[in-house]
Amino acid sequence: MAGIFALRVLWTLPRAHQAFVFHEICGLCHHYLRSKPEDASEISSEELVSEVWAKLIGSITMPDPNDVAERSNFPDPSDWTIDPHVPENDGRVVWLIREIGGPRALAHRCEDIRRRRWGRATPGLGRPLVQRSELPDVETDPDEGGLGPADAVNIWRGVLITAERAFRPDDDVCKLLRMLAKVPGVLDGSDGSRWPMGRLVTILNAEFSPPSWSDDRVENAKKRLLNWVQRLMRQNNLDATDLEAVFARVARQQVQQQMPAMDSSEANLQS
Amino acid sequence: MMTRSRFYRLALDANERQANVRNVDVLPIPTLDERATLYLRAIHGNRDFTEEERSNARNILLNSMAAEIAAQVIPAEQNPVGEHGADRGSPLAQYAAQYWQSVQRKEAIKVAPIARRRTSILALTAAFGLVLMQIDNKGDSLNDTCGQK
Repeated sequence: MAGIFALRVLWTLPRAHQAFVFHEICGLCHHYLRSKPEDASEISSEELVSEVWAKLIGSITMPDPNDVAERSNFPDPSDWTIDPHVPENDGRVVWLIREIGGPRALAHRCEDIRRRRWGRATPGLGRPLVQRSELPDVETDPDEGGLGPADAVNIWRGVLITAERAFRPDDDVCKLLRMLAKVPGVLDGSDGSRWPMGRLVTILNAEFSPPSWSDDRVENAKKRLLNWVQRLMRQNNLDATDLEAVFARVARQQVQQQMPAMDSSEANLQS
Repeated sequence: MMTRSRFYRLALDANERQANVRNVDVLPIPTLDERATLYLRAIHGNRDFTEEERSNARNILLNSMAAEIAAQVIPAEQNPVGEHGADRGSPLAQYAAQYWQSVQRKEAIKVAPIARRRTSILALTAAFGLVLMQIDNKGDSLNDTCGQK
């Protein structure tokens, strides 16, 4: 949420102000790495700069399905001093540089880089000592079209993983998604946005009842899912293609996150 | 042949719905393409960018969004419902097994790991750094050899 607010602030700045922020962050990254030789030994300044901007510009916010008013607790932009001519006197610029270029924020970005490179550290054990293997060869990138059956599952799994943060795991929306992730072909043959309610009710009743499922219950879950997806798209200004690509990646990254742990346990078994 | 997922259809439906929420956010937010341009300007400065650079930037940003979501996900072992699925013997699992058998018969899964396509600036920087180190090492060993002689 903080990231998306910072992105909004950056986006409202005039180009000269943006260029000033870009330049300042570059300098702060250089300075930070000079003061941290242990970080500088494995992370280049360009890499850190890239990480800072990927994190900020690639921010995403999750709508709370119960929060209809979509309130935010961030500073009111109208309270900031705006100087269209001198960026360093502009309150938005000052706030943004402090928010993303401070030593603490940069330390987090260094840790993000290490985590991506070596995997997540386990308390007391550190990072996995084994080299990570390649990703399982079952994916097709949605960006390039030609979606295969594996992507159909990846996308629904990504939606489910994300929805479980917003809804309770026993919510009807999650049950519906769990079924779609497991059996994406259940919607095959249905016409456009109309779903085969009879078939869905039968499967959901077999798996997730009591209480028993009806057409209305499925429709209600679908409607809430649609509302949530709509707000996700609107709050992040993403279209259907973008969101599809994000969800496929969420599922892939979860597989990647689980792999170091699997590799470590295999190494332990062999030793 | 380009096909679209069922989720894409659902997202289109969601997009067509009348917004029933009051938007209190006063600051606009860039689209993915605008974000990609912003990212490229932050890294390379003001210049024209190729379509490949834009595509790579979009990839980096989509991965960043996915990482942000994945980082906040409850681990499967803490999830009371289990790992996004049903028991092996359940009707849903049986239905899923039938579905997958039919899919495997119809079509071989296309192999395209995402990492292979990503020619990022970071990878290029790292590769360039390695080349420089090797040159440097060769220089050192030459110097050592000359010194010994």
